[in-house]
Amino acid sequence: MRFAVLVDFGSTYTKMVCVNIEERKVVATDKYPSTVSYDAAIGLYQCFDAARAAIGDENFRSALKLATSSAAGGLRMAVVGLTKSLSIEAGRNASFSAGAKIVCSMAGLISEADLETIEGSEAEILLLCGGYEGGNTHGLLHNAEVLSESKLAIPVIYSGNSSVARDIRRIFISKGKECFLAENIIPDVSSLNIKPTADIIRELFMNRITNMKGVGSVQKEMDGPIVPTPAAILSAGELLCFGTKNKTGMGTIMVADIGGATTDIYSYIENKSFSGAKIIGTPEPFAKRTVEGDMGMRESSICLVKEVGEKNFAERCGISEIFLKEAIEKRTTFTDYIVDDCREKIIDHNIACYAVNISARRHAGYVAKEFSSGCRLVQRGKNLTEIKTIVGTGGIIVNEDDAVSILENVRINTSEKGHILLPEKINVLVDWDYVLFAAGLLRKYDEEAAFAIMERSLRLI
Amino acid sequence: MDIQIKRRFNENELPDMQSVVADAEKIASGISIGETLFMKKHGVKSEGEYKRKMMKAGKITKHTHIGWNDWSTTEQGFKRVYEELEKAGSFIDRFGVCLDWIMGVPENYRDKFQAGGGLIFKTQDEWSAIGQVVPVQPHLGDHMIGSLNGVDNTVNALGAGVTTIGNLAHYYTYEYPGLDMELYRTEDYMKAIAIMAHFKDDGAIIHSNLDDGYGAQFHDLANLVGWAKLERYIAEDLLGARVSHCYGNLFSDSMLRIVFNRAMTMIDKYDTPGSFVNGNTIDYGMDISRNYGALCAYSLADIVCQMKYPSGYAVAPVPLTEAMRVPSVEEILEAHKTIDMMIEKAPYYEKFINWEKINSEAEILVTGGNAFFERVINAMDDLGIDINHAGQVASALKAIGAEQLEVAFGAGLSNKNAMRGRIPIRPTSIIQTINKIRDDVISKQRFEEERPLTGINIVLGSTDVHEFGKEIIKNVLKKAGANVFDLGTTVSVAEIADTLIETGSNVVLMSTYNGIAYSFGKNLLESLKEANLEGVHVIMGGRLNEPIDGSDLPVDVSHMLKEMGINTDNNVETIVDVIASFNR
Repeated sequence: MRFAVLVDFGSTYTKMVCVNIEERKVVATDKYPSTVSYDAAIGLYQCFDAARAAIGDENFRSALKLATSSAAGGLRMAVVGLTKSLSIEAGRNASFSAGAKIVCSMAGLISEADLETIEGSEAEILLLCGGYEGGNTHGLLHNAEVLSESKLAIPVIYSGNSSVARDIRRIFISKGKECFLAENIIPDVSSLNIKPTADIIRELFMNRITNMKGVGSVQKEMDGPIVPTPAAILSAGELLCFGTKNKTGMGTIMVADIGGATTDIYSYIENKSFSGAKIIGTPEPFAKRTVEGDMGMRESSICLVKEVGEKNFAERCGISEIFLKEAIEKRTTFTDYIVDDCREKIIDHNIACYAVNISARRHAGYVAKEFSSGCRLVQRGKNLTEIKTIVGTGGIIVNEDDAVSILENVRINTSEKGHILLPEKINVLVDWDYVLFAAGLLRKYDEEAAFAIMERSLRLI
Repeated sequence: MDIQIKRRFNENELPDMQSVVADAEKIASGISIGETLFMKKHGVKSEGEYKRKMMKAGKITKHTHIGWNDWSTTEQGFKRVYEELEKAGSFIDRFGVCLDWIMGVPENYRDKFQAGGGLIFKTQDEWSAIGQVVPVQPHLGDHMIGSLNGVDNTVNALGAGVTTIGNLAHYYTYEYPGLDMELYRTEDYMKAIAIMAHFKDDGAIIHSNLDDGYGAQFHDLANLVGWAKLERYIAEDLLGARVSHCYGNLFSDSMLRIVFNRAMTMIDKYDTPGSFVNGNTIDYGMDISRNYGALCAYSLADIVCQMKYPSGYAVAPVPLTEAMRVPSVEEILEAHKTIDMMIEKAPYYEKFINWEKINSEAEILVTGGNAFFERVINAMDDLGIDINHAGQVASALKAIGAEQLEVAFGAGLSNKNAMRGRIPIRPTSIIQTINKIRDDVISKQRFEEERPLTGINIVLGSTDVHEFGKEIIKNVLKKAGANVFDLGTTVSVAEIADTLIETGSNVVLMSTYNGIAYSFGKNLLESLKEANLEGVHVIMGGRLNEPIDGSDLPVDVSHMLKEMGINTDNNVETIVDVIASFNR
């Protein structure tokens, strides 16, 4: 095959990137208002028509066709573990790397009240984890009993201490609930094993949940399973970092994807101790993704402004609080709103700046002196001080006049130095043609082509 | 496995090898090696030349460390030691002179720091005086090559006629607080080595005390041999200098001292004479009679070795009071006279020693050392480090650290339960001692069949870098059937509570050594309370002390810990019963 047609089903747009694989070039891109809420196939056929027009019938017929989906905000997960710093953190890392979004996480022995929260979270998969191998069993059995009695009708993945795996599965099955088993996510002190869990999450996403109508007919048109968009971007970022057989990678990078409902941050770097600090908590994955459900340009702009403070935000934009309130209402009501004047532009710009600023700080690790007499520096989370480059992707970045100043928000200021583990200096690149998702899909079939289309989109060649 | 590299600078910022060597050559061309009284007396151009003569003549040489604070005391001391020994019909060949730490700092930074009250030389004349007091050859070890001021000090020392100069090992372990100039230091390190290389045919020898550097941190002697090869690779193969490896402080087994000397000779391609073998100071304590025994035991071995296989190493008579104070002239003389008697008696032993066995033991160490060396070099190549660049290799080795090197590339067989995940080919003396304590404890416990801790989960860790106490306890607990979760060393209070929950343990044992026992125990109990883990049993052992009420001196705090409910029995023999009783 000479061509690939790569489609992303988002909640606002259905996007298409058509690639000439041999020439390693994007030959056409297009987008159409999303149709996932009634029939995803409509948007798909619009994309296909555009691709057919660009490369001709014959090439289209033989083209590789793949798709990602982030419709309805993507895959929603709940994580129940035993402790925040160990099992929950590992569970979150597994879920994020599979492309999911965490809507609820609970540590320790869960109560009836906790159960209501989980039930109310509209999670689509529940991850139950905790306990090292040979470690805790009592807390896991307790949590399984409580969860099995719930009204939840979603699949459960268990990736805790394997010595009670069978008992846990029996508990769920006997109450008519699906339960899948994965290897222990934290087998021992200082070891992390997220891949088996992430694989099961992706598998479930593909087969059960894509949150779009008409998924059956869409899937029939495709040469591979529909992948969560963030999982494809995670893979694309990894390719950018490592490079290919013939191309040197970019080394330590971050990717920021600012969407309407969420902001995703990805980082590719080995976690190292900052200044000799003692690293505690669960080990950090090399390729890490986090997603902030309260940081976005539209649906969640209201939460973002609340976090920053209305007064603060209005002052920064040079507008009144009343104007800000209206502006935000507009964004949450009409999520496809496109800014039409310069004051609105300033508001969008500042939302984006804060989204990057706050999401990066939640993604990054930090150090603190914790034990006075030992005067020891303790590090929690991932050290990103040596990240060299940030890549921005997503609609806002491409449409912004000043994408660089938005993305530079990952940099730390003087007061954060030696505390928050983000870089002081950073190069900024922008995914101008929105191809990261496409490169992530294509990577499995042709790494060189996937890498080359990203290089072009980042204006490196 | 993942290698964590704690880089302090980007090694690609180092100048290339050619420009470093060119700079060094330029500096070296302005130096002429001075002549000391010792050189004049023996008609030699360097200490190395003298050593070679003595090796040929089968004569033992002797070394003494001098650690007095100011120059006039040092000068007086030089004279008295030399003269008194002459008077007694004895001799001394070399003085190891300790400089003040500030000498390791470049001159333009010194005014920011408080000097340590040791020897400080300011002018070339002051430097030169060191070899002009008595005909004993001065040796300069610390705060020279490997400090922040290696080039300047090497230039001055060579000018003063000092031709054996240390200390390669210093680069890896000695830090100058408040001066994080690692890039500068590494470049200076390379240059100083290259200057010594320039004078290699004039007898310039770089000394490296393995026991000062990463050497002391290895558990397996084979890896230590491999480490010595790595140091030689940097200084000899990449920069062209000549190296002599000193060892001995941490070698308690007399025969092992001989074996190790043989191994050091086997890995030396250039037959460079050794500097000196340090005394076995781990056996020195407060009991003078026992120290006396230790002095005789180690020196006899060192002497016999030099008689059979002369390798230039001077024998070091360590004064019996060394563990208690800076020795007086009288105490130095006393040690020399003891050793003189050992030199007289050593030939009786030499003939009956099984040299074949010694050499084959040494070969085992060298084979293991080669494996370690190869693995490390290959891995560094894979990690993208330029293995032909001396500075890149040295700084990467430092950034990786001895423990990781040993865990990842050690020569010993992998074993999950062994300390550092490998069974040492030949354990160092410290590890031998630890193993012996462990075996003694285990043999005294009569739970072989019952295994009283079966099914009990326990969390274990150490508050600082010391792991030996923790390892002994871990072995005992495992033997008793417990399921032990090891948090490793430098454990932070913040990680204990969550680990107890994930492991489902209700017992935590912390070993401590660094004088923080009280604060650690107090913070730990607070954090357990916060996590609703008040039922957890806390046991602390090791050195349970801490400075209390603003004083500088740590005092015993076990009664205070006990009042808070922490078990402070500090007794490995009863620990199994104690834990079993918690669960009864």
